[in-house]
Amino acid sequence: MTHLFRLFYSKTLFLAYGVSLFISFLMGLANVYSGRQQSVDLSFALFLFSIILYFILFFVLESNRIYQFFRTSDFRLLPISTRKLYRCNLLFSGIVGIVFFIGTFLVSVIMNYTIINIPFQIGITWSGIIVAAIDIFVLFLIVQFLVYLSSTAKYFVQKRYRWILEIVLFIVFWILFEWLLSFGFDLLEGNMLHYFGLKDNVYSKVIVQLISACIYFNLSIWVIDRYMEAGDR
Amino acid sequence: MNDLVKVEQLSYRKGMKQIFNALDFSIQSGKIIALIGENGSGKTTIMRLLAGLALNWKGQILIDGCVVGTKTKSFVAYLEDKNNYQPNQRLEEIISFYDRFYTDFDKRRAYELLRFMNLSESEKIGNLSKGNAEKFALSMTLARRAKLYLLDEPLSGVDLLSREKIIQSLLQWFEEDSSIIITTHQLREIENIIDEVLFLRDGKIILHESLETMKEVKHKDLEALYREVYEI
Repeated sequence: MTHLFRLFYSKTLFLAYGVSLFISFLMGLANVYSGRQQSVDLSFALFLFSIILYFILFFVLESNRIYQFFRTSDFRLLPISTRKLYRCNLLFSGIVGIVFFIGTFLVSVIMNYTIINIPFQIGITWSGIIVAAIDIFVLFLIVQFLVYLSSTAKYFVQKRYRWILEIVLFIVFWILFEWLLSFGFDLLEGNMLHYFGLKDNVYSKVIVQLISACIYFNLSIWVIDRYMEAGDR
Repeated sequence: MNDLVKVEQLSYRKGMKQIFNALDFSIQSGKIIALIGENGSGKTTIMRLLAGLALNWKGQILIDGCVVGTKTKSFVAYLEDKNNYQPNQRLEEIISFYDRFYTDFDKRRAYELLRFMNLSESEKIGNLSKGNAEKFALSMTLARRAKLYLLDEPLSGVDLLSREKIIQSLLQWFEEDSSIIITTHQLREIENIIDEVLFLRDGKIILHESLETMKEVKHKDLEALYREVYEI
């Protein structure tokens, strides 16, 4: 697996994450040396901005990286199944994502809270963190799936109408995502929780999200294998 | 001899466009086959399908008895008409990439081929001329001890001496138990090395002829046969 990770590594990608980390640091520095009295609200705003900036960057960079990987013939010609390649790509994104998230989180907390003596409190439990992480993972899989779908759309839809299709696809899948989630959640909460003896509805949410992850993972592989040709012009 | 490649009732559609419909052909092992056709006749698409780069086809494509897919990629070596190497990559880095991922890759043979092509492993891809880049890509393909080599336009845009070098390398490193399918428009240059020729028009094989029959029975060279087939 590690020899595959060497294929995914890109200096540009890490540079972009590094710049994002530096921006978080600079924003924190502006807060530290702010002439006015630092407030909890300002610190929280800067902290939140850093985290949002990080996630936007993560989604854009990693989605593009995985998409470009599957568009490269040299990689698609490898005698390795698409399933394994996609799984390893996701794992690599996960590792890079977690490392840089922790980095961004620590820099933001230190610069916006610890240094200027503002107490940092986050009202979230461990189970809440796990659910949030799974939510992000599923959303990432959905974004990937949409990227692959829109890339294959070029064979079926004229260029001038493609942007409309992309917007429609995004709306449809967002609605579907929300609907599937609440439908599955209600189903589990109503029946399965009692059956399996699960007391906390967090479990049902995790189960629904994991099922969604499996569905989108397999759909993506199907689209890549059948419709996303590498090196195609 | 056994059929190394067997294509039966192959249908392939790309978006709204039907590229192949009920295409049939087979290729025996130990042969060098030229796949000839006009621009847009589907030569590259056939190569891509055999290489396993597109899987949404219907019918049957068997290579050495295996359906085209992940498994066949381990014994099919494909040289694309445009190489995808990064300009800042050194040749030795690409050699080690092939060595890591292909069990049939022969590193010693790769360096032999580099020496034959007068290329230095410390060179960067971006510094190579088009001809040298083509020679390097071919070296990487031939350095694999594959059962089937798919060479898509290896002679296009390459000067005369480089073309000669490429053809010499094909003869020198070709193994009897493997096969080569080569697409090209340089008919005269490949005429002396090929065993069979497949003529493709509008997604259909219109003629599958051995060179022996072509010369001894029809008394025609490849170019004359090409004119006969394509000139209406």
